[in-house]
Amino acid sequence: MRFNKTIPLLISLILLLALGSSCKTPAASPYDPLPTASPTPSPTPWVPANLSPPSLTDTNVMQVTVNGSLCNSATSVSYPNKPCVSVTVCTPGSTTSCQVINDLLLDTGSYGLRVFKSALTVPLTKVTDSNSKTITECATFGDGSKDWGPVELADVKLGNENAVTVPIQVMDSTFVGEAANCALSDTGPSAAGFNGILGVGLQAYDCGITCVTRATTLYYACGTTTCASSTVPLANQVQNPVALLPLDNNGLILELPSVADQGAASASGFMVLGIGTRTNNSASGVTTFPANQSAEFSSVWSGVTYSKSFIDSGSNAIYATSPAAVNVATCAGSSAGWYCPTSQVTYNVANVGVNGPPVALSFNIANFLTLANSGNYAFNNLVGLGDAGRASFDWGLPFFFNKNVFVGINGTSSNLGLGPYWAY
Amino acid sequence: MKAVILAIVFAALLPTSAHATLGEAEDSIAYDQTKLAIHTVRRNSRVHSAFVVHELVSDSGVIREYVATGRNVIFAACWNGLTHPNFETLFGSRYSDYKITVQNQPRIFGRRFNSVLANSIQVKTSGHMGNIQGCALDSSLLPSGVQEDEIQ
Repeated sequence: MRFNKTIPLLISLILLLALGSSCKTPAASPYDPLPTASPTPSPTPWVPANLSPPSLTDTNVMQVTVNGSLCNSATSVSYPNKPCVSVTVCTPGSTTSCQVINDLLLDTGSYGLRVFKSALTVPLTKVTDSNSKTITECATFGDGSKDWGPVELADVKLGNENAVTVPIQVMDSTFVGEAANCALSDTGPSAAGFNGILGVGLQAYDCGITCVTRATTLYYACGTTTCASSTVPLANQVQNPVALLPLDNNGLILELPSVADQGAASASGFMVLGIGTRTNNSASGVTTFPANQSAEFSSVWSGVTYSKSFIDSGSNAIYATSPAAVNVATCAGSSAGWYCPTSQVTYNVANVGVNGPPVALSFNIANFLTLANSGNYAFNNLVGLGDAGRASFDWGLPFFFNKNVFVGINGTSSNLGLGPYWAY
Repeated sequence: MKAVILAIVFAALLPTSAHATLGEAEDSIAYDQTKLAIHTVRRNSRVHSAFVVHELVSDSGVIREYVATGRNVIFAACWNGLTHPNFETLFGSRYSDYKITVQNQPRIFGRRFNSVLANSIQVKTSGHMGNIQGCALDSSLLPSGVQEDEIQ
């Protein structure tokens, strides 16, 4: 992270998203509230390369909509490239005290299910320690947002899989008293932009062994009035529910269709659970990119190595600050955090797994203002500046279109390798 | 009441009192070491002639504080770890300025980084779950000859 006085403008991008481009569309607002969600028809299955086509009747398949029917229109204003799923959440042990929760951000950059308390209607069971204190978490994200709330046990049903009993976070900024490092935590769906997050990234636990042995600012034990940092055994940590599935626990595949260069109003694809465990998730001809224990690998753009890079469906654009030598044109004014080449440009870069060779790929950068004024919400070429220090190349949702992206969970193996890894 | 906490110091590095608040003096706030649960402090004066970096290690991550050489004031702090640190403690008197700015700033959905540019403090955050990073800087205290991108 470095400071750069030339980029004081990221914070104001929303102005363009919310107000429209003053120079191009004085009347129309590019990200006005979504049209009243007409029920999206069932996605038309396509045949992804190297894979059998998934079907929503398969045990291990879930629908993913990018700004489609699984996203709430109310929380999706000014939020392009938002991949949504729904899951069924039940009171532990019950098959009748259940609810379907939609508008969950499908996030390969985090781990575990988090749902706002206001979106929950079924009772769950708080996870407590040996002193009857409630395990509570301050989940933290790179944009500075924080989610505070207790860990609760839920039966979670992914697609047509059997339910798994898993600790989730019930996000509730009013619970007991926010820990100091969780001040200003998200207050609800309208503040955060979703009902919750389904974190299905490379880790099985959202902290892991560090929090078993150390009392951190991630996990707290709360009584009725105060909370204190606490160690938490693995079994009580928020966990990636995919890792608990009986058969399909070694990862998943995110399969999103292609979208045209001008974007689409929405897009629909699939999340297929498991890798190489069934006919519909057995692939050949993909390249595996091992990640480090922080779930990062490297990307190289014009000789510059971004050593903390990651593939993240929860980032709504590709975010990377171009090397000085490349110098992609940025937008002006309140859109200065986005790229604005005169017309779409293609760049050749490489991804490098841990101890792996560089593997070339290309990506497109469209003119942000053109996209913002299109009225569309699903884009494969939406690209913004990343951190000024060029530490990370954030392969957000645009990367996923027209691909099958394999997410291999840490400590598991498949025909594609030993997790943590990505493959595509 | 400010408690003085003995720091465990790595052999190759000089011992120092700990501190944690932007804009305050280097030796004034051992108090905050407790608030931030710091267990190890390393002082490194060899990074740059214009500043000294204090590395404060806790079970949750690392905070690096930048003290201008000869001016005895913390002008920047950067961190990485499981979460962001307690900003109220770290930012000191500048916290309210930060808080008002961030509360008035429209939320940008879908990002893994953000900048909050308040009058008295600039705060940049980035990273993803498990590896969260950030830096806070009072640019008015930046020593002459030091570029902002040297603070990381």
